[in-house]
Amino acid sequence: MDIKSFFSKLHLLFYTFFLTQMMFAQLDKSYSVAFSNLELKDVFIAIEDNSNFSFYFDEHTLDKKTYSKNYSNQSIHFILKDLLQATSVNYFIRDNDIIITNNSIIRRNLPINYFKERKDEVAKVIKNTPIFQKQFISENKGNYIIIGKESSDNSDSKHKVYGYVRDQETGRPIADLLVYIKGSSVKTTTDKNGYYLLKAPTGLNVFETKVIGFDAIKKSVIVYGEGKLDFIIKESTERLDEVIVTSKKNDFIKEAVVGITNIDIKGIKTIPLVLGDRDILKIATTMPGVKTAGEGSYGFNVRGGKADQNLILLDNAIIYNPSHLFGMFSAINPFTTGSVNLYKGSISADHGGRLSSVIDMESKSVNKKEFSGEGSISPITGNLVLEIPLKEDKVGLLTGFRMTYSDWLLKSITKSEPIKSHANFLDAILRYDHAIGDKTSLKATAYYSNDAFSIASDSTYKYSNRIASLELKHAFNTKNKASFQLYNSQYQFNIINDGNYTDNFDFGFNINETQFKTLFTKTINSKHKIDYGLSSKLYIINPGEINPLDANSDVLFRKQAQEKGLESALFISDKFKINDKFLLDLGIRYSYYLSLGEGIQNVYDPNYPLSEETILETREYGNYEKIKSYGNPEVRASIRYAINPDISIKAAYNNTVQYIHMMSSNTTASPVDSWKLSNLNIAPQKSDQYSLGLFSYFKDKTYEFSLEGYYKKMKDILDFKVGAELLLNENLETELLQGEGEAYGAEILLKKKKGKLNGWIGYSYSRSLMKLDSEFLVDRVNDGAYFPTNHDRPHDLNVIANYKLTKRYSFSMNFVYQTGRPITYPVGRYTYAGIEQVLYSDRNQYRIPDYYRFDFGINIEGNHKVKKLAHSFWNISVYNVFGRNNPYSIYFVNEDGEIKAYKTLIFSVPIPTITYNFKF
Amino acid sequence: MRIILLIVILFSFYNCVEPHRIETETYEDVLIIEGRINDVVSVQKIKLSRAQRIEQIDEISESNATIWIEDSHQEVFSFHESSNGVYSSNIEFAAQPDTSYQLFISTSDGKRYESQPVDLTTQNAIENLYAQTETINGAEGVQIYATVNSNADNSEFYRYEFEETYESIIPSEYLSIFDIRIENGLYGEFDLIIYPKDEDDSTCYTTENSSKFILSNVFEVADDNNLSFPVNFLEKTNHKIRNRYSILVKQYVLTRDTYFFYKTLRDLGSVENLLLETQPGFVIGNVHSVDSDEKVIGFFEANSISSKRIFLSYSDFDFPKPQYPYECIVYTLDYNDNTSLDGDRNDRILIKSILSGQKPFRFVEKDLTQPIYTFVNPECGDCTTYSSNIIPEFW
Repeated sequence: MDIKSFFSKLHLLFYTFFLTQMMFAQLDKSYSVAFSNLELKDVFIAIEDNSNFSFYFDEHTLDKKTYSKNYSNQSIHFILKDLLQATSVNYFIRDNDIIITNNSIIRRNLPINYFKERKDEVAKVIKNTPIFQKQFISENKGNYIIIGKESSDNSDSKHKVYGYVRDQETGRPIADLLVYIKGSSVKTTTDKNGYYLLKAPTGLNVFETKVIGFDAIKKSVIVYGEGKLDFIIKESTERLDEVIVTSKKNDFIKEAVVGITNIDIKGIKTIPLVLGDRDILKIATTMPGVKTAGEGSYGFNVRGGKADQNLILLDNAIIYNPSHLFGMFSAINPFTTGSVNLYKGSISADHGGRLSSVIDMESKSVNKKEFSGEGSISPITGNLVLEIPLKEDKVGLLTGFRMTYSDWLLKSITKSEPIKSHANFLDAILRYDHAIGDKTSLKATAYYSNDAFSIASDSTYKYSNRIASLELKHAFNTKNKASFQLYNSQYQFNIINDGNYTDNFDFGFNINETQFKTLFTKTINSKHKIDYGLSSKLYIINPGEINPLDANSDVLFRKQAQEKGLESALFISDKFKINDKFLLDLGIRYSYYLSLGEGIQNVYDPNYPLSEETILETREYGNYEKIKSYGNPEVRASIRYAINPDISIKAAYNNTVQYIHMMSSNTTASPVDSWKLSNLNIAPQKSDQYSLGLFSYFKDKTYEFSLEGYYKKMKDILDFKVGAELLLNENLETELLQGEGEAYGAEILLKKKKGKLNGWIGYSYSRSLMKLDSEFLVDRVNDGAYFPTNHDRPHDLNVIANYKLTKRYSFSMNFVYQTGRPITYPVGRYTYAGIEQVLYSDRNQYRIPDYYRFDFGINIEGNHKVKKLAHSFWNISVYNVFGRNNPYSIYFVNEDGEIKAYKTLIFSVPIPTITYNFKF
Repeated sequence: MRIILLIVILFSFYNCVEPHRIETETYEDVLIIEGRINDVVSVQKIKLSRAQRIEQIDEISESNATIWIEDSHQEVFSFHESSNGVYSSNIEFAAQPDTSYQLFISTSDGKRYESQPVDLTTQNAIENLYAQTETINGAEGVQIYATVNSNADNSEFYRYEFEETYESIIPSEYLSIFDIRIENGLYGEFDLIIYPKDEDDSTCYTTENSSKFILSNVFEVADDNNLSFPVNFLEKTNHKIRNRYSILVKQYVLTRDTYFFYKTLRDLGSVENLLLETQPGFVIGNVHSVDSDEKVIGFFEANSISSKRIFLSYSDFDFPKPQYPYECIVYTLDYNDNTSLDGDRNDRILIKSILSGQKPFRFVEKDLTQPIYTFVNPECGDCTTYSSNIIPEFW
């Protein structure tokens, strides 16, 4: 072992440098080095003097910070990586040369005509091979990277350049990052492992990366041949500034699909939300085309569809009720969520089973580099998320746990006056990521949420979601990839009546579904990319049983028979790039549904409206015996025409089928709404949607604008007869009506994505109508004419804005306006056969008052010291600043012959909250 | 600050239901038509009214309309307005089997309405009316059933109305044949005069009509050979069966359409709770406007009817005697005690106050030797304060 020590004459007070040289090639050699208070420049010089390495760097790009480190027996890679990890400096080792580049030159505004000029120059350069040293020095101030070996007989004009993109802080791969060569049409995006591959022309190329939330990186690269180029990119230090915003996945101008919204999780922290919790689903509902029923309802309606027509997925698995506490919180832990995609216009062919939308949520891929965590504390909830690497770069675990202590608080405050209201919830998520070799990865997710509440009564309502999901991905080669997915999801609710009466009971409902899905991706050539596969899911519904709670209860045990159904689908879709202007995304899906026994089905007399009195025959079916089958081809087609790189027009046609229906007599979704499968008497719901959109960037992509219109026609939409009894009804079909639906609307979204002030304005005008006509009087609603559905709210305006005052302080606001919900109003009273009656208007003839709300919030970031225990910020927000008394619903009761109206309010006063968030 | 914050949050969380003022601008003036004819030879009656505003109490009758019924044999039955909004047939008649009837209305403002033609429903009279003990929702009591012939065809749907009459007898300890009155003297003094009652106010008879739609159908009865429909349930503690109780049940055989019309009306009445609300809406009947698509409510029915009466009381079922429906407040007061300076109340002032006012107390008894009187609240001393002492004819 050969040890040398050095003493610097220039800056230092004291340093030592140990260098250990082994007998192999320099890269594999181990070095020991220790120094303190040295500038980078001097550290490099010191290493250079004591090894065969030569450092190339531009002194002016290096910062003046000093470093104190102690390495013993480490490779040169390790030393440099560690040394440079907190800086924007990159290094590149080629033979004995170490090239130091500073990639964090961020130009906020490029000079006018910069692109034009550059383009010409680059084009010129590409033709010029070989390259003269002088040329790139003059252009790039000496920071360059060389890929491939320079050789005189280089005949290929393009070379493969590939590599991984990782987050500097966490080491996590960054997906969906745009990697492109400036001034050319060469571009690609990284896959989920952060891997990219592109073909670069020989010569000098400027590689750039772009994704929201991270600093853009430029690397000047001289390409001689095939080679690897990794990027380590830094999370934007100014991400508060960097918006909240939602951007369409990839580039919304370039995708063919209409009506897809990607929700950026990071942005959520700057929107004032109820009770201090960041809420992804709430953000999704601020997008034009999505409407909520107001506070206290988890249900939302997408483009005139019902609340049960949204396919909500968490790591590929369906989640039936993604909400806590009547929808005041979403049940998805915001700290564990990686991405949210909302499809409201074109739904990809591999998704199906719901008419209106797909909300595809993915928990974040686990940081396999180092232990980290995130958490928040507010007076209502506590949340803690941990990321635990089990094997570096290979295996990692993500855990999240969130719960409320409102129940405990309620009890401690109201000691003297016990009230029966209570509410509590919790949710937990566990994700396991395992990289099996380079080409295969395994992901497993387990999720559980639980809610219990009681509103001033003896009845307690409980519900829970339980999900287990597994995904195995394999890349056969760069052109063929496969994903195998398996999940089981269960939703259940209970109503427990435990008062002092003899009618105490426990009622339970549960639905369980298991799906297997394969998805293959085949890139045929630069024009065709094909996705295909199949999926099959088994539904098992236990519509419920009612159990007497104790011996004194007079409630009789009753149980309704289990229902089963198998929904399968084959799908294939092709992304066909016709030319630079036209991109066609064509998908076909064939769904096939089997209603299965065992069970009993009624055959009704077709000459009469369905009722218990018109049952002709009762058929019995054995276990897994086919009751009825429905098969439906579904088309998912969209086309894009790019007028220029900043403006495109898209059109889409979509048809969808739904075989499972939520039984809700409410105007809004409630957690105790049961689900029912299509069977002999209940036909699947169908929808056809046509949409057209204009998408544009302007002012150097500072602004993003979209205008979309759609027309939707639906068939066999479910509604209910007056006074329908939905729970434990053996002949539920007698309470149902199926009719036609029609929805249309226009949506405008304007986003400002950069600058101190950023945010978006979304407005939509939309109508949602339905028709319940029948030859039978009792089955006809509003005389068989079209009438507004419960969720028809024509005007909808959302304004979300953030203003960043300083690096530490930022303000955010949120304004919502929606037309009031339609309602069937009592319009008089009368006496019939001696009995007092309420005269009701036509169905949904009137509206409840308009909904509006203004929220305001302040974010205070912790200090920006590099070395600190945890990164933290405070959020102070006021929900409903105006204290607007937004009625959630109005209903009428005939109490002893007197008609009384009640309105349900959830938040009628401003609600301040303070939340402390931390990250380590 | 922290606690205040929490209270605010919790307050707004849990006070989530508020009364809401019904806006009456939404009032719709709708014609209500109650047209029921039956198979009993009698003056048939049709009632016309208008929907009233939600907060309005008085019914609005529809007067000066012209009403007639045409049957399928082209016979016309004319009606005249016998009282406000009630129209009686000019002759007595009964709806006949195998004949269809159609109602025509022309209101005073010239609007015309007509019903769909309806047929008389099949006759299937109440064969038996009986009561038996039963437990419903944990409460023991007596259920009154109407039984019909199970072999009859085309009579699946039934509606019942009942009229119950029950005896009320004041508690025996407060029985008195005397009444009392105050005779004022000079200087605020008064005397108490006891005199015999001129009528018996210890036994009364209350008659009440059914207050909801009672609907039955043969499909919901498990035993096809015994078609018994529940009509009225009385808990064993119900004061109505404290003494003799009588119920007159009237049965209407309905068509399917009529049945569903009433069923919809019935289901619209109540709202379970916040989570499970029913869908209200306009209820369509079989009467419509001839001239426009104006909405009207009403169903023209031709029903076969029958009725039956039974008597019963708590003692028929081994129930304990139900409580008297009112709480009895008894005062025993000394007329001579006219001061509160002795540390207790001034009895004489109290006597004056309980015997004056809207609801004077009733006299029960007087001590034989001293001027000490016993009084009871009016509901316990005189049943005519809440009922009638006229004995019904059928009693």
